[in-house]
Amino acid sequence: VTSADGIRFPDLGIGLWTLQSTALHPRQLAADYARLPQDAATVEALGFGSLWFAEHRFWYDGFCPAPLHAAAAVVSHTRRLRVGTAALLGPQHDLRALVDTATTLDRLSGGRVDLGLGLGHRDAEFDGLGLARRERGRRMERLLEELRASQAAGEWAASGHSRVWIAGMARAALERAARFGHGLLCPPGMDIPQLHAAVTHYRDAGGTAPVAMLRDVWVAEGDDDADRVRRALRRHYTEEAGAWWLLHGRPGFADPARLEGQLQRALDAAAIGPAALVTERLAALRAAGVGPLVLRVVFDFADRQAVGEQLERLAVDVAPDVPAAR
Amino acid sequence: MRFLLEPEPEAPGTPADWARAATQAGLDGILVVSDAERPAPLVTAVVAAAAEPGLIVGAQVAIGDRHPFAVAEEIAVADLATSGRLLVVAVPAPGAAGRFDEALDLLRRALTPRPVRAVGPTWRVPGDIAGNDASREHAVRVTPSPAQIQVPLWCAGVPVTTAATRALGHLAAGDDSADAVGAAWRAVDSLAQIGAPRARRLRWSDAATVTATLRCGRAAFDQDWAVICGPPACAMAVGRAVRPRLQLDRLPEGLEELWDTDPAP
Repeated sequence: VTSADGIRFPDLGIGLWTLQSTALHPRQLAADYARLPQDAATVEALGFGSLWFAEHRFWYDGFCPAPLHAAAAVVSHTRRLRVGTAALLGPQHDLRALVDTATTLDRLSGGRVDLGLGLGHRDAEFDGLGLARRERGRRMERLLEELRASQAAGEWAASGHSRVWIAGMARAALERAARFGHGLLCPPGMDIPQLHAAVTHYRDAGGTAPVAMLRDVWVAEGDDDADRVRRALRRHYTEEAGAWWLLHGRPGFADPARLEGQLQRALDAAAIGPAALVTERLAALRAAGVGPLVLRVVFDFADRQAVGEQLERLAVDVAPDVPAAR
Repeated sequence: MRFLLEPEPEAPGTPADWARAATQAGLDGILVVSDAERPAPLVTAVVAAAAEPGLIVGAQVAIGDRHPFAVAEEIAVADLATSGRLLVVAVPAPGAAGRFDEALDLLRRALTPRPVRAVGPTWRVPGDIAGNDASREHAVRVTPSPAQIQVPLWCAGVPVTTAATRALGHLAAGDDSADAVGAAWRAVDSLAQIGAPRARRLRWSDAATVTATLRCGRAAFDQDWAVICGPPACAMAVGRAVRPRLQLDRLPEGLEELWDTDPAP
């Protein structure tokens, strides 16, 4: 399965390197960071087009708060693999410093950066940095203006190969992506009707760039394996959504009924099962207008060996049969 | 004495090339600074570190112009991504000299495992901002922890006392006279000086001049680190002709003459 002549699946990426050590699945973070170059080389050798990081901060599990700095560890160990963020929480950063960071990585990687930008949603993250969450939309607008000015000045993405993606499914995010001419990065929990609606709204708003999507996937060996992964994924999202997500203004744990709804939507959207089922689900996303797909197989519950097996199965049994992005 | 190569502005090659040049010359590490091509030195340092597994990678980081916790997060991740080989030289950001001390102290606290609650002239941690009501902390812990127990932190562009009173290293400028730097170190309480690296940045000229200048620094202020700013190609001359002369207090008679007259049999 090793790719001798470059990237075979340019529009299939692998994620998410969140670099967490959770209560249920503790990990030695220094070892995980040390293995990043090797992980990236494996993803590239299997023919995938990109490797994706994520960002959160001030959390017990050490969730990576500086994904572009982590991504810097892999660019000199790969030649064509792109590095992405799904997502970097733009409004939580000093805007000029973020543009400088992205510009440096863009140049040192030879234009291989997919800068996916999200708003951020957790009050404690904004408050820890002395920022008001209610300002996040305005700060995102200013960041995008800074990036545009930087690109015009021959700094960020001067080669034209690095790209900005706007993460989200709210109308404001879709319209912002369209207005700035950036691609749209859809979250993993969207179902096909939601995706259709988002793509339509984005196109109607003048968006012409590709639409990308993050999707939780798992090529299971059988029904038992699929059930095990569904339970693990449910536990994963229970912790994240219960502690972090605001459901009608309250953290998930404070509203069990709504939390259950969120968990069910996340599990329904995940593509877990035999290779044929995963392929079919990804093909449906392509048919609905999705270009680049970020396949999430790196979770706290998946150890290195399991992730390695998933990458092989995806490269051999799924990726060749997923229709190419239009 | 230990040696870092600082590639001069617009130095040829890539950060990986600089790392290889320093490694091949037997130097301890490199120090990267912000320039127009690569304005984020911590990113440059991580890329350079990936090229050579044993090298110290220093990054000169401007502080005072943005939240110190954001700087601390980037340092922690860069230290993890370099397997604990990061050295940070903090300098005042342009226009932010008045906030340097506050930023430095918050940065140091943020790099420990203790949650921080602080109210200063510029920064309040946590912000306690109206509207951030759904999940607010009493004190903020920066995560993850760096790989090193304590990331080496030096100061430059500020007085020796700013660093030494905090038991941090100090990187003097090349145009600071050795005597003046020595006087500044002598003025600091002796307990505060223990273990604090005393470095000076020198522009590369030739081996004899640099060696003499470093010996002068060692005599005047116990200089124990040298940052040599020059083209990456100067690394080998530093490694062969300068570094060996600065490791011991004295060398046996005749050894330097041997090095000079028979450098490569």
